[in-house]
Amino acid sequence: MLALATALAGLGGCGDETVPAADLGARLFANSKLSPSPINAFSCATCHPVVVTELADADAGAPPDAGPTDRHPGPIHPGYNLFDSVHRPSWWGGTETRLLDAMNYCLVEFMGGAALDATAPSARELYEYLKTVSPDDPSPALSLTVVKNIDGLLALKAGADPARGGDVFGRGCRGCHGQPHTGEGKLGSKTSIVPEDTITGPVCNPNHDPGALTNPAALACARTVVVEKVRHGKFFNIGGTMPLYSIETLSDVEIADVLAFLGL
Amino acid sequence: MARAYLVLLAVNLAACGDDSSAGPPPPDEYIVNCDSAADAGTFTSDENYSAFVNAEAAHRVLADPCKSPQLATPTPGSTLDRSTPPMIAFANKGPTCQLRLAQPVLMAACRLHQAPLWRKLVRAFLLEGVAEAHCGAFSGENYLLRLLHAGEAKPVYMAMLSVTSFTPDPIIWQKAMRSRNGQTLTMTIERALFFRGDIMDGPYIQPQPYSFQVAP
Repeated sequence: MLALATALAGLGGCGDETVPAADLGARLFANSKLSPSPINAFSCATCHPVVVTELADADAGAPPDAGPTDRHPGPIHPGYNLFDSVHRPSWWGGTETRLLDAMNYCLVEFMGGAALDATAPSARELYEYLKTVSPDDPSPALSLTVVKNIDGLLALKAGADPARGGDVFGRGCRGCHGQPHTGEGKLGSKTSIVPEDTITGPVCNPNHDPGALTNPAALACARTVVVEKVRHGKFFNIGGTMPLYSIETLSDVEIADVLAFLGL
Repeated sequence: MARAYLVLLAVNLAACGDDSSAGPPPPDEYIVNCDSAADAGTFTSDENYSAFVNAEAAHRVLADPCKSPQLATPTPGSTLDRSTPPMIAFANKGPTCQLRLAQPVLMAACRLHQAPLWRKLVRAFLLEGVAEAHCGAFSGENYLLRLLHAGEAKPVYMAMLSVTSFTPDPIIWQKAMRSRNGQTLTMTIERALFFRGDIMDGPYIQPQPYSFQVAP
């Protein structure tokens, strides 16, 4: 582990020396320019931590019914920890069996880019980087459970805790959406300010009601939209570029707490 | 604690990309924009514009004289009035391609067949869609029309379209044409077929843009 940390400490090496592919890959991992899209603001690191753990399955997140106190105190990412990711037998919950396909899925679907060919230098560099943080061979596949029906979550209003929700928002949402109500620090101009943009937007406020922020119907609509976005991301005919949070990455209780924190 | 986090890598702390808010200029008009579309099935949106922009950045725009839109009016080579916007009308593609109407659908279906299992599974769900944060993922054709002046990166006028015939808003047009008198402008129209928010076919563009003269 020390050797790994030492190796990673030298990521910033420059000068005229030849830079190892893994180092270039580490830079690419945190660089939104991996995608040629001029709109994209995501890098791999936006959604994926690389946290060295004792147990390879620790990146599966908290159990479905866990609250924030049961999980690690750091950021909550929609994507899995990519520590020990290279030697998994599959990715994306078992639906991708080639690492390059799994990477390209993110690159195309969320980052607006074009799929990398296996011979592309950037693909090779990313692979080399991930290999340096994948000491275990093999490492286990991770489950990914996409929540289909959100009705149960919508019913979890009664016991929701806004204080816990604030904590979850800070660790899971603020990185992209910025501060609640103002969007200060949000990632990219297209990212919505929550919950105001949702409440006053065309879906929940089609008649442009200036009082939408206190309109119960608009608030109820926004509650549903937020849950849809968190659980389904851009998928299920919803659109946008937001990735989804599976049941392994964010529990229903945590989402209900976030809704309470947002006043929804 | 079973899960001991030994090292938190610097890359994790910097877990965001940069703000690319500068980005490309937005279209001057969306016709018909999704939040005002009477027909919920046919609209355009900023999401669809982003898809065009991303395709251009990835060099996926294909110059194809048959599959690209064919301008009918204004007549290429004619003069554009600076105060009165012209009616712009075009065929979505060339006449020989019109005979193969099923082709884009077949191509989309083919690509869907070749898509990763994950994508197929997600699309297989195609859920009820209780609510949408945006205008919903679009299926159908959209067009990106630009009027350009040589040497300028920003279009003189740009519109995202879900229709093949429209007249630009007079106020927007007059603003765009201000100080353009006598200039030669070129028009490009890209066509793309979307399937649930993703471009499944195209974008296609004419190999040579249409040229116009702005009235003095």
